[in-house]
Amino acid sequence: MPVFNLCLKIIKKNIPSIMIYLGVFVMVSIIMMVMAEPNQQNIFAEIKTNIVFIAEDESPLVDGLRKELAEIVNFVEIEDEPEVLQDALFFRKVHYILRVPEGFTKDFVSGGTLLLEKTVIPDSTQTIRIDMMIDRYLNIARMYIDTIPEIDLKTVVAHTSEDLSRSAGIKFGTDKINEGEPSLMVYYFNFLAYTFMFVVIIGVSAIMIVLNNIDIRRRNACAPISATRFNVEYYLVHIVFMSVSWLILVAFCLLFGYNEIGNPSTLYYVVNSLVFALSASGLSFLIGNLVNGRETINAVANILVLSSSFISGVFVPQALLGENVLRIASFMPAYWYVKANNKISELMVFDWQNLSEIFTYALIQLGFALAFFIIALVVGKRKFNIETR
Amino acid sequence: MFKHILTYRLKILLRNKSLIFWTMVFPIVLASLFGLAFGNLGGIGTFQPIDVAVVDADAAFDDIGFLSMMEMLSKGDERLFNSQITDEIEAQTLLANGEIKGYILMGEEMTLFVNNSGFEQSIIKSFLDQYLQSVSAANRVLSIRAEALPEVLTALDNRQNFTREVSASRTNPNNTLIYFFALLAMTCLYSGFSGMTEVNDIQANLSVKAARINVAPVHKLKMFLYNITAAFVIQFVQLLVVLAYMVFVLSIDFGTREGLVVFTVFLGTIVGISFGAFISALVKGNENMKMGILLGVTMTGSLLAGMMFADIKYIVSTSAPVLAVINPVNLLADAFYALYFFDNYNRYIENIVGLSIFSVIFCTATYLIIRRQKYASL
Repeated sequence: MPVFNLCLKIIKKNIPSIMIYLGVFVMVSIIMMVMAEPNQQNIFAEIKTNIVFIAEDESPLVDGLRKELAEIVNFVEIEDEPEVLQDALFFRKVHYILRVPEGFTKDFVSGGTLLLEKTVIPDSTQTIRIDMMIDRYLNIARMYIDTIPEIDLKTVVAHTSEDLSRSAGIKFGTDKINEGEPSLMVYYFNFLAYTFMFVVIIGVSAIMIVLNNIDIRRRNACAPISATRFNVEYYLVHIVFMSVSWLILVAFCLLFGYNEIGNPSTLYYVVNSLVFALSASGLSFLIGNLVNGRETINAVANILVLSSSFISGVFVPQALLGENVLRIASFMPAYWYVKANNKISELMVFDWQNLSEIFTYALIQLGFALAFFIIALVVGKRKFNIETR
Repeated sequence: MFKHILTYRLKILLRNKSLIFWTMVFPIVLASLFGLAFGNLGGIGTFQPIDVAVVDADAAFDDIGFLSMMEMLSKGDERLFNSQITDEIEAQTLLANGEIKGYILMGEEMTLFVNNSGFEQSIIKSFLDQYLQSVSAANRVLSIRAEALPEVLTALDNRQNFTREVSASRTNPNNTLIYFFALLAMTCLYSGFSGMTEVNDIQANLSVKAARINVAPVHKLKMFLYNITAAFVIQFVQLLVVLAYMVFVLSIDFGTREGLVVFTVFLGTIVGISFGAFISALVKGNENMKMGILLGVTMTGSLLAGMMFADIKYIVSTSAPVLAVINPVNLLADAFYALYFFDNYNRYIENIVGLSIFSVIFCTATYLIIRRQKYASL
């Protein structure tokens, strides 16, 4: 199989650059795994916000406030240096910095207007809860001080904390409570889109650049091998290359998400990624036919892959992207691939009604694949005709 | 002579399309993608009114105070809730369809029905708790001093906010900016491709062109300096284009100290070019090898400076500060960050000193390696 072997040789030469992208995939997946673990506490009312509590005034009132806040926040010890505090706030390591100014208690008891100082990330939901808690505590304490003369501060705090212990009951309406470990599998599979596109574009275009060279084409045309045989081997090597790349990447995904393999969704992820692999392969065929030169292909691959990954939600979740961005993205198969993955990750029940939506997305990807292949064939044919004329 | 060499070098560099692509077009494309992808990201955590239903099941328990309070909180632009009063069956349907975050079943003890846990749900609960707690406090006061009713009502009416916002710095803490700062820093380091080309084109053992130049009656170091000047001019202009694109097209906020931002870019170009020259002079091997090392170092540096995940920058600077100091990409990104976010110049100056040390090391080392090389044969 001379053609097949030739193509394998070409691919082998490109293995170093392919390894770079595989390396990036492995590294990013590991980072995701490490970073996703600690932030995910998703049990009711236990979402504790990190805050810094700086007390320049100490009294039973301030102690009581600290005790009440402990119910809803984690206190983080950070140096009281403006730069350190600003840094932590900027990177959202803490969401709220509360400073009790000197003389606050004295002022509060005598009905003054001294306020607690807060530094927060503007408009964030987390800070509202903390504001509510502080206001609640101090308003109730204020009520005792204003309405009962001669009441001492310790009693006020005791009464207040007793009142604050009253709380509304909570019930979960349906049985489907989304608890426990969040699934990371969907992230690995989403990220597969980026790596797979790069790997096949580099591999496929490397073969096509060599074989589409007009001199080599002419030389091959007079080789004692039938055109059919040539084409069979030529397409076979592409199929083998794509299947191997796909298998390796899926194996990595399953390896990283080994504790979720048992979920029924795993199978759908794998099938969806296979469908995507087809459309990405079609795209790489098209690029290989349209673009000449290694440098140019590198540039085109970078721009195309990065942009479709960015706006299709491979890196940044689709939910966070603007509507117009998503509308543009819907002209790319990666968008439908990620959409299907996200849907799979939300599924609780695998019935026809839920699955039909996923199948629709898969069909759209197949449509892209078909379109890419057809355009690639037409372009390739015309190009060859023009060049040989 | 200077003018002649400079002009021709500029022409040569301007015709190197792939160099211009990677050092100017590619960063602009990446910046646009960041802009598209993170355009909405700064607004995460912005508060939206919460959809909620109130079920008044027990007609005997008619808590008018609660209902009117809910109504008050569902009005206006700054409202907390979008509330509606329904019966229990309808509330269940609404909840199942995800149209409301939860519903409140009124009674002696209020009960909140939700489907999952999240911030909206806990805010509803927090609000209910507050209501029950105020009622409890009021009852306690009245049991101690029954004649205090008017004062209690005044106190309940005059709920007060006890916090005052103190701004962290002159600017908003918007951490998506880290991506753009790191990207600009990476672009500065990409100038290294230029520096690399300059060394390759002057070292006779590296290219044919250099072999020819070496026999020309021009002092090699002078030639090198002229060429590097041309590379610097082109890279600096390209970086200014990238910066201008970020500021004027993508509206990225670099703060108010524009002059210093441009100066940082200027210094960054020097660091980038000298870094590329240094790698090219130091590493024995073909061009691909050098390119690989330059790219590898720059990409790792950008990763650690937060270009892929902004949080990484913070993790590195708190848990492995050495890694932050020896990373020129991070020093550059941090300089932009310090200019944007901090009031004083301490941190900015630290970064600038670090960058200057780097460029001095790179320049000296390059000079020591490439000077006075003679070739017995080529």
